Parts: sequence; structure tokens; C-alpha cells
Amino acid sequence: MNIFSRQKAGATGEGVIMMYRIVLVILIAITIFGVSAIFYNYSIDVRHSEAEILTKQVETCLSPSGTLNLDNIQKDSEKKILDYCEVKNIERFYVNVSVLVSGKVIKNLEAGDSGQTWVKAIFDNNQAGPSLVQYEPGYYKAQYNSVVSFNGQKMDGVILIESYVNAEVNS
Amino acid sequence: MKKTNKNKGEIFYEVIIQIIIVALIFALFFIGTVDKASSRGVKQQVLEKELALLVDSASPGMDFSVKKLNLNGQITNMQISKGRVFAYVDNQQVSSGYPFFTKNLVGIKDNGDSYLITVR
Repeated sequence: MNIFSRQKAGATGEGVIMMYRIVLVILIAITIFGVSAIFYNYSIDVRHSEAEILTKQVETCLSPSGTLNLDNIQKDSEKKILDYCEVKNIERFYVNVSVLVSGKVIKNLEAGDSGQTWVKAIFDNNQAGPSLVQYEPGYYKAQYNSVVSFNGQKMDGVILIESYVNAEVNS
Repeated sequence: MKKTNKNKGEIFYEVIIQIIIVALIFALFFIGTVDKASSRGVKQQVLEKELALLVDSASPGMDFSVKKLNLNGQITNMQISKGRVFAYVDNQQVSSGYPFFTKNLVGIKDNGDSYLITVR
């Protein structure tokens, strides 16, 4: 091997070592950036407040002056009560409305993915670890006294509303 | 002892090149980190979510005035579109916004030193 090919081999070796060093530096920089991104990441949770506001809005929609007329709600609206109430951006919500007269449920209205109730139950039973808190849905439950009009009859009843609010995927 | 064929100038040149490359890489990642550490993202979140909640709980006919210079920083831009509130704090360029769900009509107007949010 003459002196020129040895020099060429040496230069190639230097290039390989330099690439290795650059890759190492990039890995270290990615680690620093990744840790800082995780450490400084902060999400403010307003889902419980949203659930409370949603509950109140549904109540105002169904029983605007203290009277709930079930005869006005079409059959196909019973599973889409949020569409009936013209609520927007409903993908994150599940709402369950139970109308009770003399303690018995005479009508059930709902909208959204009921699977959120199971998720909530997991957290209520302390079966989820602390790192999963972000997946617990916002929740609010309230009951309102109302005059219920059903099949032409007016009765004193109670509207029980439960609202679940999920997090946005990117928030 | 192995004899090196390089002179001191070549070695110095290589070291300088490596230092510059390392400095550039770290500079890029520090620029990416500074935005998170400055808490502009948190201020933006607070603003957007506060406004979304206000809009959701408002009755038709209500108006809200939001000063551009406030506790959450200097609001450089604010928009309401496609059912979302977008707020830009201290010259931010990116916002994913936060959705609101009210059925009322929500509008926004720039009043110079504040933004007026109307709910109809």
C-alpha cells in the first residue's frame, strides 16, 4: 500500500469517526429536547366546568320554562339529544337524561359514546394509575324539578342529567 | 508510537468544524425548547380555555371585552372560526385553538386596545 492510498484510508476513517460523533451529539440533543418537552408540558383541565355548563344548557333546552314536553321530542332525537338542542362540537361529549315521574323512569334520552361511563367507573374505583389522570372524563350530574308533559298528561317530575366530557386528542 | 501525517493546522481546522456543527445542532434544539420554557403556551391555553368557557356559559346578548395587554401577556391576535377560539400571545404564530359548543352566534371585533366578543 503506497503512501497516497494510506492517506486516503486515513481520511475516510476520520470521516467515519466524525459522522459517529455527529450522530452521538444529535442523540444527546434529542434526549435533552425530549426531556424538556415532557417536563414543561402542561395541560389545563377545564372538562369538569364544561360538563357543568353542558348540563345546564341541556336542561335549558329541554325545559325552558320549567316544563318538559316529551311529546315534542321525536323518536329519532331520543338518541341524539345534543343535536336536538343544537349543541356544536359534540364529539367529546356523552349526555344521559333520565326523566322520572314518581321515582320511575318514563323516558331516557342520550347522545354520544356511552363508553365514557365505563372509563369514569374505572377512575371512580381507583383502578387507574396516576399517569392516566388525563384520560378521566370531566363529569357533572344534576337533577331539576320540572312539569313533565307526556302523552297529553302533565305530571310533576324530575329531570336527571349526567354529562361526560372527554379530552381533545391534541390538547 | 504511531506517527501522524497531519499538521497542526489540519487538526485545528477539524476541531473547529466539529465545534461549529455541535453548536448548530444544540442551537436548533434550544430554540425549540425556549418556547416551552417561556410559558407562552400555558398563557395561550389559559386564555383560549377561559374564553371558550365564557362563550359557552353566555346568554344571547352578552358581550365580553378582552384587553390586549393583560395578565396572560400581550395578545397579538385573536380569532373565532369553525367553532373554535384561537389566541396568540406575545407574537406566537401557531395555535390549535379550543372548541366551544354553544348554539349561539359568536363574533369578534378588534377595538384597538381590546377585543370585543359578542354572543347573539
